Amino acid sequence: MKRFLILMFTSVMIFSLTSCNFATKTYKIELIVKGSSMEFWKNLSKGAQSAALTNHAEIQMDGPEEEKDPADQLRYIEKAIQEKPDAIILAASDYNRMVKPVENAVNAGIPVIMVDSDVNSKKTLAYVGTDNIMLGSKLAQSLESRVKTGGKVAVISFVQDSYPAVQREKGFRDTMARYSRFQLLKTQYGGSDNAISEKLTAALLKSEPDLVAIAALNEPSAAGAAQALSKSGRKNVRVFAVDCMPTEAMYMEQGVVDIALLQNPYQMGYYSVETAVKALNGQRVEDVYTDIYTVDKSNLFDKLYQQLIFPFSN
Amino acid sequence: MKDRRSIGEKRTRTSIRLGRKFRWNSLQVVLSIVMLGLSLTAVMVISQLIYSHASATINYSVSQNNIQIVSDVAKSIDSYIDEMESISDTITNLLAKEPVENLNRSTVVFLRDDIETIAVFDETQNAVFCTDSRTLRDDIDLTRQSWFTGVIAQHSNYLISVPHVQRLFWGDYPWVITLTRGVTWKQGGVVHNGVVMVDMNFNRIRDLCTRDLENHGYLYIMGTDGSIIYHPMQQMIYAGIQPKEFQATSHLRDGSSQVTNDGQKLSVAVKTLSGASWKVIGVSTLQGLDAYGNGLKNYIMTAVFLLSLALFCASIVVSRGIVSPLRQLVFLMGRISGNGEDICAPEKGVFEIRTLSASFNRMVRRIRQLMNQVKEEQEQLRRSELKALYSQINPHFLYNTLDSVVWLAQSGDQKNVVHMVMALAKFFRMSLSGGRESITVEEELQQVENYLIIQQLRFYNTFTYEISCEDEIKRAITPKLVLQPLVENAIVHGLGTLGESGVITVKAQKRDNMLLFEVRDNGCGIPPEKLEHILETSPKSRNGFGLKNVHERIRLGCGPEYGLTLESEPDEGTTVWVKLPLQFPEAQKEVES
Repeated sequence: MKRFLILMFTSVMIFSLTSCNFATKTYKIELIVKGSSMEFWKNLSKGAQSAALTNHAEIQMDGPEEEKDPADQLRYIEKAIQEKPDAIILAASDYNRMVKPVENAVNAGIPVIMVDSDVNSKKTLAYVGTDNIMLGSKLAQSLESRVKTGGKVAVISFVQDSYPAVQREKGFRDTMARYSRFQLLKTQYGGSDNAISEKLTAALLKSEPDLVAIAALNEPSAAGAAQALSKSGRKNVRVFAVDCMPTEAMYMEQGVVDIALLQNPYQMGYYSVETAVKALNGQRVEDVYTDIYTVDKSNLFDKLYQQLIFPFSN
Repeated sequence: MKDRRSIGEKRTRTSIRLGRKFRWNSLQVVLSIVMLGLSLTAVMVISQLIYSHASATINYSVSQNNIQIVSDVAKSIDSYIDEMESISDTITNLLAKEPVENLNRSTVVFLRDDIETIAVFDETQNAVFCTDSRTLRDDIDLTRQSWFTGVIAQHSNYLISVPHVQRLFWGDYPWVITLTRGVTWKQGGVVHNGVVMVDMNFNRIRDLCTRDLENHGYLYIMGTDGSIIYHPMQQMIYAGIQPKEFQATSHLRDGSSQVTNDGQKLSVAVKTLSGASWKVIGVSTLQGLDAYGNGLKNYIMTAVFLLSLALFCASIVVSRGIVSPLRQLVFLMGRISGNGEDICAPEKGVFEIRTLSASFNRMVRRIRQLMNQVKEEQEQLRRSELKALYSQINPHFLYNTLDSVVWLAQSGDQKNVVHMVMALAKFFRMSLSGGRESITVEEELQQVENYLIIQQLRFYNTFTYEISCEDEIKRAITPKLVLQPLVENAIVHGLGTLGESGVITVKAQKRDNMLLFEVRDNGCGIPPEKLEHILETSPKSRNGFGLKNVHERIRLGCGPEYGLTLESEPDEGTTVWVKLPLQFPEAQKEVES
């Protein structure tokens, strides 16, 4: 009798336990970008949304509209901390100034994953994005292989203390140092703005008659540089760009822009969310470096690249 | 008497305590657990059944819904492509009838938001007609574009491209799907073989396809060669990230099917377009009731929990309802063995228990009845035995005494005749004693003295006697005719053979709050083997009938601790002690009242 009772009790217990397999939790993840109106960040967000769909997560994108002032991002981080999401994915607008807010978030118990632009802190879980030193180095290599004559090379960067800008420039300059036929000019900062970059380039074109190439370290820089170059009508200078959008693509078709190194913002968005969910599920996470593609006039309309260069208009 | 009652109470209390103590094997616990277990299992099984059934129903409706949406989308894309085809047909027909130059006038008809460009190219890649007023780029090599090269040889077949970025104009890069067909026209006597091109804005197709399926489902379109025409994560796929379920769903045939991918059940609806041989594929996860979020599940769990709680309480109440009358019966049963109090079990609860209680009550009543009956019968028996005893004594004794009187009268001893007859008269009067059974010690002693006087006369003073009594017990009560048989015994069996030296002593005294009579003779005594059995009830032995009779009468009337005690030494004499309760007339009256 006693054994029968115990048997029945256990079976009821097991039954009730197995019947409460609760559905998996949906994580809330805050994605803070550098310029929410920019195509690059929109694409990154799309990648993040796709990952959210398959990984039981909910993404909320936020951040300043434009990348001009790094301090703008502070209040978005503070706001995110207040809202207590499960995780924050952040593209830091400044390598050093964002350390404190990031560490505040971590201390508040919110894990932080860095995407595209890293921050000077060891408290973040992982970095997902382009290996920017390698990107800079690749840019230098293709410049060297395509510009056979020597001469001056201008560098148009975007925001001075932005970590990707720093690293790309470092990679670029370190590799360029190997090629003695080029002289690098002082870096100009276009603030991720077409018009400013265009103005800077126009001034350079005037003051530097020996200029043979312009290295533009992000898309607005490249577009601005190409525009100025196209207007000036100089044929002996070519732009080597990082990232490419339709305007720049047109200049590439016209031969103003020689090559563009494409980053993959979809991958960044996708893998950052995947990494965040992995971390939230208690798995070990590592840095993820996303793909870099070299595009020129000949392969601009390849299936893989046209999607990155010409986003669907909504 | 007091001691006995207290023992009874103690036992009763113990049985109550045993009844209330928690025991794993008690009926109530077993009943509660079994009922709780069974009902819980039932609740669980039923809720699980309902849950899975509801899930299956929901999954079915999800699949049905999916196939409906997929068919809808397929139909609208089909009709959309049909429209495009008919536009290209119209242009082809126009070209066949009218000169190329006239075409521009009719084109207004074709201008729609969702059409980027309509153009006609001849075999030399010259645009003979274009709806767009902008100048076409002159640096484009159409022979490198599949929509152009694919169609020129095959004439009237339609060719629908995959989505691509069109670049007919500078700085304009729209995403389009290009529909082309071959066309032939005459211009200035020359037959031209060209291409009609309709660029459909891809956004239109995307709009048609942007339909939310249930449970975060989506649909995508796959071309004949496995290329993606549309996918909500198209950009991801181009960017090198393929959705996990793509492999599992892309090869499926038309209709609805279920596949398991990565531990997730998917409902996949497939419909092939009639015109473009594209496949529209709808994918939804099958989550059953889980699709409604945790709320429903929690609701069910809460309901089950509350139900279990209710069942738990109910099982306790019900089992108590069954068990408590039983427990009362058990308790009362324990009391029966105690003493004959009035016991009555309440007749309530379920039918069987009520019947049991009723039977128990009947049994108790019957037992009480029987006990009373037995008591009464015992009483009657005692009475009849007493009567038998009296009547046994009397005629024998009377005969002997009268015999003696006759002898005395014959011998002329008038004085002794008078003496004896008087003693006899007194003896008998006292024997009657007004029908009472109890008399005082004094009376009893007088009675014995009368008897001894008579016997002394009969046996010619061959023995002497002594009677003594303590003063304080003279008024005490004693059953009558207790001493006479003992004295008779002493005279007949003890002194019978002895000469003039025989002495009979009768003493009444108070000892240990008891009345103690002592009858002693100095006769021949009783042999030990006889002494042992002299008080035992054996109907066959005639010996010591008197003693036994007295002994039993006392025990019957006063209790087992009273009665006779014998001591005998052969040739020394015999002593008989009679232990009786010390009672006085007043006390007895009180007890009786």
